[in-house]
Amino acid sequence: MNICLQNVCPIPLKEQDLAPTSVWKTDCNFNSPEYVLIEATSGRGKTTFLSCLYGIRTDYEGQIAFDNKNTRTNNLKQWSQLRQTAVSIVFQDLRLFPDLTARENLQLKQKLTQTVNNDEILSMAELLEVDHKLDQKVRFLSLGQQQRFAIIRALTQPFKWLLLDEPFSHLDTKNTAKAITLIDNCCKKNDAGLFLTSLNEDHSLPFSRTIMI
Amino acid sequence: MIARLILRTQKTWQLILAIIGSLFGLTLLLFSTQVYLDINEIINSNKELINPQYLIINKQVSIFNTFTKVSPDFSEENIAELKKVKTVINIAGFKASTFSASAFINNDEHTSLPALSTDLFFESIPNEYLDVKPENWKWGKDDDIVPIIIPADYLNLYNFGFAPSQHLPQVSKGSIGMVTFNIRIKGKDTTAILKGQIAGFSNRINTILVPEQFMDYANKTFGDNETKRPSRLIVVSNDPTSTELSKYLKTKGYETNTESLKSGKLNSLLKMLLIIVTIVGVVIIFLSLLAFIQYSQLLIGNADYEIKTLIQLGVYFLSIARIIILFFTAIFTFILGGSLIAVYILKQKLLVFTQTYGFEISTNLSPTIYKYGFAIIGLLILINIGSIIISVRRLAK
Repeated sequence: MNICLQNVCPIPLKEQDLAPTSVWKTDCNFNSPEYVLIEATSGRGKTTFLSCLYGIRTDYEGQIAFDNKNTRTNNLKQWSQLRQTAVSIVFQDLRLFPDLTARENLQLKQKLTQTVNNDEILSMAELLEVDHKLDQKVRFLSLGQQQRFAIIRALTQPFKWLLLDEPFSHLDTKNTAKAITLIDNCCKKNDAGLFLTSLNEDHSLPFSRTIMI
Repeated sequence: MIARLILRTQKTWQLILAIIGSLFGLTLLLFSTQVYLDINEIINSNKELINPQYLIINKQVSIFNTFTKVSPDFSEENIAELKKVKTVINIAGFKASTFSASAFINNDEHTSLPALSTDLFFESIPNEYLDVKPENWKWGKDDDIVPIIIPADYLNLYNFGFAPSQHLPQVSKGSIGMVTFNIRIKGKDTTAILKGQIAGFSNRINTILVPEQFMDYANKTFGDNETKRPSRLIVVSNDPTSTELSKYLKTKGYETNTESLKSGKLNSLLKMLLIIVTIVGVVIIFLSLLAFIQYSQLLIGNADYEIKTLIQLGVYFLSIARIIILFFTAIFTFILGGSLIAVYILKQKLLVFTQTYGFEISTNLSPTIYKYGFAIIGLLILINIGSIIISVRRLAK
């Protein structure tokens, strides 16, 4: 799936000085399966960039097109279709439901998209070493555990692009490596690309390009 | 699971209060409608109880009439116009005598009675307007005795007013009917003496009545032979309390014997009471509708994070709205069922009450009640659906 940005700039960032490698106010194309690393210091618009792609924010100028279709013209039905089949996301603030158990959080997505079965969920949880936490309410889990469940949730649906917003911020090196392996495998299985925002560069994913914002 | 996620955020006691409120309001509304329908049923099956009503109408007498001696009478057009008023069924004019008459009793004829003489006037109306139908209420040319109906009040006046003060004996209706007396009729150039007899007492008509046949004959024979226009009308109306009729009478300056409208007034008072109860019911329904809309907004507001996140995870906003709509539709259906049961129970109580007074009403609820109930609840459901869809959609944007 092709993502094409034409002269996009979020309205709040209009007055800011932009780096020459920035995605803002320029034309750029991304084609899955391509791994894109987005690097920037805090407050430069990394999350804004992913939110614009995901259709949560529309306060930008310019045009974002998926396979030549301007996403601004999508209605709510089309967005819900895209989010179920083409674009998956791990939010920076995770957005799990704290009063549901981890398993129920995953089942929501499972029921919505009918992609994975319970065994696959279990094996993903085992890989990330959170399988023993599946039946606990999310509010009682540590941030690191929550982050791993958020990653699993994003992977249990079909997608062409995976948007990862600082997905390893609460994970240690060992768990980060495991998560990266899982993400890489899932992207390959789906023939999908990914956008990853991160504060530090030491990720062992084969990025095709790095964008500074 | 989505349902659990969204609906768990609610405050139950607010919901319970809203349910109780609308249950109460709908029951009040439906029951008062049912009572209204039942009263109409009673009225319709007991026509003689309240319907139709007889009104006696005359024009106001002004000082002008006193000086000109012109009686304020009704023209043909007046009557035709009055007939067009909605609730008026029929009208007849009072025929007045155009001759002078007096009644007298001679000493020698009835020794038990004192000799007396009094000037009289007669009027007549068609028989169907009478409230009493005496057996001998007819007159032919060969009949000796003229039957007369006098107001029942006259007898009461005599028996309870005049007789005790003059130390005279009281008389019964039966004994008066046995007395015959002489009637002297004086025309332009002829005089005749006839016999008269009290044939009955009327509660409805406040005049001295003779049979129409006699009136026609006497006016022709002794009167000045010109047909006089009636100065009083008797009006049959199926709803004399109708504002249309009373407004018409007022604008025309006609007077009426308002006393006879008492039962009608009672009827309209009852209607008024029921209208007030109905209005209260409508207000309660309206308030509880507001409560429900506010409650559903509150529910959506409380589940703001959940709804937004679900939509961001790819759930279509209408699937979320549908869950909330189903939840409220179930509640509204419960309210409808509950209040229909309550109205049915109240109706059974009412049935016992009316039966002790001898009125028959049907045991089941009227179809109208079901229609109203479904219509109101349907409307509430529709309005609520609209408000839910709008506010969930707002979160999706």
